Amino acid sequence: MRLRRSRLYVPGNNPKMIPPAGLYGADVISLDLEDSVSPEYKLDARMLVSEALKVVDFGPNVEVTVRINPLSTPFGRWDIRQIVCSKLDGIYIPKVETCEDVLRVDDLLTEMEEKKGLEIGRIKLFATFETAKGILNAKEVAGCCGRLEGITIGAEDLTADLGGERSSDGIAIHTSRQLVVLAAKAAGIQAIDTVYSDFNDMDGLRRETETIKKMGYDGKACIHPSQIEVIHEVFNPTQEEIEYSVRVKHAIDEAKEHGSGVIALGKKMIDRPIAIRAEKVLARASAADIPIPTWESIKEKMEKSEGGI
Amino acid sequence: MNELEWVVNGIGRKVPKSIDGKELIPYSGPFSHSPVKDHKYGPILGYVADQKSEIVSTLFEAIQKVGLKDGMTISFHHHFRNGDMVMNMVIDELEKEGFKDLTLAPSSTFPCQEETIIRAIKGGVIRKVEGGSARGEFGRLVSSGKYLDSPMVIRSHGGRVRAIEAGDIHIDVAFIGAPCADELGNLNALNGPSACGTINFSYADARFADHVIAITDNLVEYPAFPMSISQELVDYVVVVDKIGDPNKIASGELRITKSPTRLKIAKDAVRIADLLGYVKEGMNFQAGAGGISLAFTEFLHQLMKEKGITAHWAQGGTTRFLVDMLEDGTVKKLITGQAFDVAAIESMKENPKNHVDLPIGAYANIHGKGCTVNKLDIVVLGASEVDLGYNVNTATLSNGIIAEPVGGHSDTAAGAALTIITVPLFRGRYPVVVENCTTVVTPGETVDVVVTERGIAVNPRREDLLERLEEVRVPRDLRICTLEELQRMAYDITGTKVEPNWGDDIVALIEYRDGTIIDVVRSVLPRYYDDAVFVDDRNLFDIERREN
Amino acid sequence: MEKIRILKEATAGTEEREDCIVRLTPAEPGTGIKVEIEGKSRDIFRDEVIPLIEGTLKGMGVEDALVWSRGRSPLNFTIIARVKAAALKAGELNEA
Repeated sequence: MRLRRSRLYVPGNNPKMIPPAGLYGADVISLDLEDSVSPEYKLDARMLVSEALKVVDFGPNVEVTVRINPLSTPFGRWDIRQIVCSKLDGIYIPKVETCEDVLRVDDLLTEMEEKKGLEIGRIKLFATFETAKGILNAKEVAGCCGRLEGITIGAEDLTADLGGERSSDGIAIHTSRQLVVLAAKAAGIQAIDTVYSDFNDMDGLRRETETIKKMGYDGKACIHPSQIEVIHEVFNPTQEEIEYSVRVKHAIDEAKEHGSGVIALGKKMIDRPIAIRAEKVLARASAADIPIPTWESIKEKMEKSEGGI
Repeated sequence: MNELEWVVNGIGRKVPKSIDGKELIPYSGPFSHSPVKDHKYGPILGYVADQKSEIVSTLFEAIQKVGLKDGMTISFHHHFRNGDMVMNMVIDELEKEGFKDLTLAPSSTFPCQEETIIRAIKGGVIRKVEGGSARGEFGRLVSSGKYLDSPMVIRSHGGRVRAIEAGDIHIDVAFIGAPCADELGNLNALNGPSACGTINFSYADARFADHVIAITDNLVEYPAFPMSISQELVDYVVVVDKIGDPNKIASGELRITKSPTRLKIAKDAVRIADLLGYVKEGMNFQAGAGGISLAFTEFLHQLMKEKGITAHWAQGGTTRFLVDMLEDGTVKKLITGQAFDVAAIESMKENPKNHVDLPIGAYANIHGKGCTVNKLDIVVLGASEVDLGYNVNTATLSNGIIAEPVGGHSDTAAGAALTIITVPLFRGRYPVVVENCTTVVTPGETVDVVVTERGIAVNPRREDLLERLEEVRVPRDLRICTLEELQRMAYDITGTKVEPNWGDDIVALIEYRDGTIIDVVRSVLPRYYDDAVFVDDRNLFDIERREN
Repeated sequence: MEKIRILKEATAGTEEREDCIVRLTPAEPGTGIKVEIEGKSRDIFRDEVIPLIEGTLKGMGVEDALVWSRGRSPLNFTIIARVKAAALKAGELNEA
């Protein structure tokens, strides 16, 4: 699955901000037709994003997505019909509450892909839960559609719907966050967290990103390019994690070769969770284009520093 | 001008065989043309007798004493950049005294001089311009084809020195703005309220002009050290109140660009130089003062510290970013062609053992016996356009108007082992990577890599670099592509490049560093919609092209 | 592709940098597409922008319209988008 550590929102009616959107290093960009565009500009924004998608090059490694308006609004349907093109990689559906909300988009998407002669199913979907009802339906929604590759939460609207308050410890949406990641992983898709709106507070961003990473989230949305580096630092495996994972993998491969049922690394037993974790670390490192050292080079390095593994 | 005979030169540009009776030599390659004459030109001799002072009380007196006449050639340096007051002062005086038909031969010109120069040209005081550059309104005037009878000759820094030494530019009177002078004419640029660090651009002028008049606002007791330009070359010294505006001469605080596009370009330029193997112990490089250049210097500094390597020497366009590298030992020695900020000037004063200045000829003249550009490992340069042949335009904008200097561009590109052009893919509605440059200043044979924010292209002539890229691990976010791909990407966004509305007259000759003609610039006609002539492109280059 | 007739005046775009405002006004049949670009008189790009606007409108089936535009160095995709948006509003059609 794709690396989606960072997802940068780009206001959809702002011509100046669209061409450079792919230059900041974000894994995903979301050209926004929804909350950052006021109703009288929805048509302007839709046409602007649609035209931009035809000619602007966002870079080979960037996932180009659009956050459309909900289908329940007068705009959503026209958004989809207008923006579907070969450069579009994904669509984010806001305010999802039921499987219907996703499946209707899926159908319309298929219709447009057919109409425009594009590969059916190439454009992926992402659902955002912003209400209590949506969160509680996350389990069903997460598994309802083949195109759905990730789910996210919209903290601002969700907190309002709950009647709660936003706070730096995120207590209001704590359970919602966990439910979303549970739903995502049960369905085998990704979970992406909401934005951290104070883009001057890098420490706060880092803390929050570390927390959600520990929960199992795969990425985080951002509203300002300066946030991307911090988010990537948190999500990227460290050199130590990578080296350890290489050693684990080697131990597993060695054990297989010798037909040994018991796998050990030094004094520690390698059981399934550790093995899975190592695989994920290496997959993330590889996707992030971080060089993975060979087992031999790690062995050499350790022998030099402490005299033995 | 339509009766001119044309010939196609070594990069496929049509250039005239002769102009105004003077034969021209077409460009045929970066290292194909050695000097025509085998001796340097020589100025007239002086006679100091037992004079103990060369101070005269007024500029007018100095002009009279050297016997300046109508039709002569006068020269200036541009070390005071947009804070210069010398050129205006002199031209105003010449205008007042009724001089006519002079040839102006500055090393470069700046916006603060435009009004004066334009007035002088329209009034017949100046009728020809040699070398240096033209920008802004002055550039527009040259491009209009009106007022100047013969084409302006545009040269690189090294090329200007070549021309002076060969006598192609015969300077009758060189006016040298000197931040520090003594009564016999020892000059330097390190001390005084208008200190600018170096007066290297006057070095050749001082040696080859028939007469040299120094203008200073800081007369010191004899002898003035250092003797950057020494007394045996200077005829007269004039003391005035102010020769420059210190705030515009040396910046107090040069800042790195904040533009994400430019930062990315600078970062990727460092990364590609590293990937290609040029960032290593003992390396050297040239720095500039434009927005991308400063960022490049800063990122290079960080990388070198990470790798624990040092550079033997570096050359600038010196700013505090380069000085920082000298002070923390990342760079061992610094050579300064021109100083851009106070830190650079202070460093030259405090650290002469490791930081020196160098005459421009020693920096870039190909018809000399050795120049530092030949020893350069890496140079990073800007451009207004780059075309599919890797040729570079820095003289005109895409609309054909003369707007920027050549500076040391073609000199460094020819000499450096790795020449990197750092440019955004497009500027506003102008594509920067184009099919054919409007004007060629630096030939593609001397350009190795083009770095834009959306991709990097390596000149196919450099098979060694392409091979190297096969061998190393190229990070996924460094996108190596062909220049054709970049050009298509640019045209997709901006539309096809609009060709200039060329007129018939030749308004400028682009002379390559060896004296051959690499391209010509024609006049530009007004568009038919209105009679206002030219696009307001003042901001097109903003902070990028501050050097030169 | 349905033809769009400009039925009322409509505007799209903003005064921001790299954007343009496009205003379409109905015109008598037979007028054709008349484009007026306001802005710095020194605008070398009119030669490109006017055909671009005309072409975009013709591609939508518009035959008669008065177009007024003022911009701050918009790129082509922005101009096309603003023209299309104005046309869709002016023709009271939401068809893509």
